[in-house]
Amino acid sequence: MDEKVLVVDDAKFARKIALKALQNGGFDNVIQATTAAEAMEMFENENPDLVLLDITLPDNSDLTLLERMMQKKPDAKIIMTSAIGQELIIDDSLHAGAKAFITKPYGEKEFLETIFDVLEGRKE
Amino acid sequence: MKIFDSEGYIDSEVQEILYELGNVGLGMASITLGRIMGVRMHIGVPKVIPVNELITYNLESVEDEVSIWMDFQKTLSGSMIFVLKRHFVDEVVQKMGDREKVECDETEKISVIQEFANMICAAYLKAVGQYTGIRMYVKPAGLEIQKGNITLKQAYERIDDSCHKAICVDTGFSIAYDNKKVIDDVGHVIMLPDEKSVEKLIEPLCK
Repeated sequence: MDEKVLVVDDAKFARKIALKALQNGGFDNVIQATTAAEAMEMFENENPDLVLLDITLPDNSDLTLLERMMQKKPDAKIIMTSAIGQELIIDDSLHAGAKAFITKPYGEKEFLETIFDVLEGRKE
Repeated sequence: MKIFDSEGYIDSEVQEILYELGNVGLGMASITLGRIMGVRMHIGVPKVIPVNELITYNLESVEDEVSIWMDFQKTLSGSMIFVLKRHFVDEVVQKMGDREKVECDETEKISVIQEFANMICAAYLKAVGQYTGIRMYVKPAGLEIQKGNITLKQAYERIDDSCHKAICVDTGFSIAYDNKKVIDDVGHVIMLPDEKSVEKLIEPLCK
């Protein structure tokens, strides 16, 4: 797969799981960020095709980073990946422009299906 | 609604509501724990006490415990604290690694523990959020390996820096395996909102 994927998560273990799943899905162009500041810089400089974004980061613990990314690039494909399962926050994320929300812990099959759906424009 | 009565005790209706939130919070967390660990969680009776009573807890830990702090953000102030027996945490790390089929080196184990706490906390707050209609955000604030009673002393000192009145909703839990083996008191999940945050949590449930 040619798509560049940006994985944003401060937890090394969580990034490892995501990376493994992405590799299994054929994604070999994956970049990582561990803070909101780093994520925003990579989002602007690397122009990823897809962003997998955790809500809880050391320097961002709400939807501000998502909103900043959507403001920068309104057609960005961003999937929230978070342990947060509160429906209000999930709704907020989708209203803010996220294409999908994957709640941790997730299965690899569900994870990849969602990614492919978003990349192919089946989730809006 | 007054959180404390004229004699400084937690109002009985407030106690009941917080008790229920502790119950449903850990109830939801038990589902997540079951998925991760393949075990049943037996939930203890939530204790609702003012934070200054935390330091009178008689936790004579004979082993190290892992304490994980998550601070409330945005609309609420206070913390979620997880105090987990070390042997249980070692098992969590093993199970999570097995589940995801990844091996973790020593540096990654802390990350695994933090991620575990994230998931359990999120499940807990999902239940509380559903009851109250409040969006609850948290941020990891620290992870320590030490005796449990030290953690609770720190909790008191830490919360006291920011707000002198907070309420502790402490729910302990045990673990039961498929072979009927039960390990008692493997951990505590403590919701520690300050007084103003308790008002916000209670208000939607008192209407």
